[in-house]
Amino acid sequence: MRIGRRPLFFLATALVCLAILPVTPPEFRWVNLGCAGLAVFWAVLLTIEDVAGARRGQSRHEHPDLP
Amino acid sequence: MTLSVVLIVAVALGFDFFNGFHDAANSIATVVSTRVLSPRLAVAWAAFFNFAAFLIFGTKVAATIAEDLVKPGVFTNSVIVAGLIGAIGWDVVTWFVGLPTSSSHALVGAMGGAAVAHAGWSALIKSGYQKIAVFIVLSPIIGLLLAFTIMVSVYWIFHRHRKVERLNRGFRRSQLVSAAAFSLGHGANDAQKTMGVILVLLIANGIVPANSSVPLWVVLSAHTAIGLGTLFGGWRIVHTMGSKITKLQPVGGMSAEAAAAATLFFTAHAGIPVSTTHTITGAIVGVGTTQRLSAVRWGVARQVVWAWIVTIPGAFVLAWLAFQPFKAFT
Repeated sequence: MRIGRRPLFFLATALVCLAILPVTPPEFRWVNLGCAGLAVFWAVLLTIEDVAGARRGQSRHEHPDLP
Repeated sequence: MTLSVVLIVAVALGFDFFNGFHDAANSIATVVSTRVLSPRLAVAWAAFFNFAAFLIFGTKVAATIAEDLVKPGVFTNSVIVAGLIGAIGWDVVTWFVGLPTSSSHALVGAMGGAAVAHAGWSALIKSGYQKIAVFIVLSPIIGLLLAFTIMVSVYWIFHRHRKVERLNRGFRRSQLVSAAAFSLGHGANDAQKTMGVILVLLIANGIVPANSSVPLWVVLSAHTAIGLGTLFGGWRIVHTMGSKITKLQPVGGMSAEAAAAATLFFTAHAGIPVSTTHTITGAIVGVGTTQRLSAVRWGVARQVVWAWIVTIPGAFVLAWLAFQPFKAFT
């Protein structure tokens, strides 16, 4: 199974947020965590979308008469 | 108030004017590229809301510039002048080559450079620079993620709508509101930097006490200067921001501006000077990412990232150099 570039992009974004967590002033660390959480959320959803899209394409290939 | 203080206030307001000229074009880039407003009207719209920002936001960003970057007592008139020369010089250079860099970071870097030239590295307050450095990275990411989230939510809510023309009209109207919100955020963030510089100057010259808040005349003059700067706007940057990074539809413009405005409202409230340029760039990339990564013109985005990386050191060096002639007199 091949994961698209967009989930990886969002995953990388989450990693950047977490990487700068140690140097973020404590009162703003929730911003890093919130952004990382949101980025992971989108990475997961986009992965699901990619997988579902690939399966739809595969089933169309196997049953070309499907609508 | 001595003549030298009046002259430095005038230079600071000149920086604010040029900041509007250089940066505030970002406020109108999306609204122009989606053709919701003509460039002329968009500039007037943005300038008005740049000015109106003083009615809504406090002066926390000004306090950060005045108190959290350089140790009290280091600022003298010559340090402030050298800092302003460094920041203005950097803005002029990057404007000339058409790079959408940050005036906020130019000012922060330049004040640091002048302070170090005057009193050495110990003059800097590490925690203040740390906060700003972290948000150099975070502000575009917040803009990107919010813009992507708004865009996907809008698609999800309206995907069954069949009257596309009517829907587009609605988004065009809502873009007027989001552009106004972004200009408010921009005015709040960028005008306050100048207020911070003028406050430091007034404190250094004993005109106001050390723990004073920003006088009303400073607030009004800073917002007027940035509003006028926007009015005389920088069209090169509009071109770079609006059409080169990704192609925008009204719904994309609205999402990008709403996301960037929300980011700027948060940072203004938290007293963090961030770049409006970084924020709107991140938001535009977020909108482009909803289509596919290749919809974003990464060459331009990369050029912008380079500008972010070199701004603080570049302005720092210019201000350090600008302070050297003053050393002969101190």
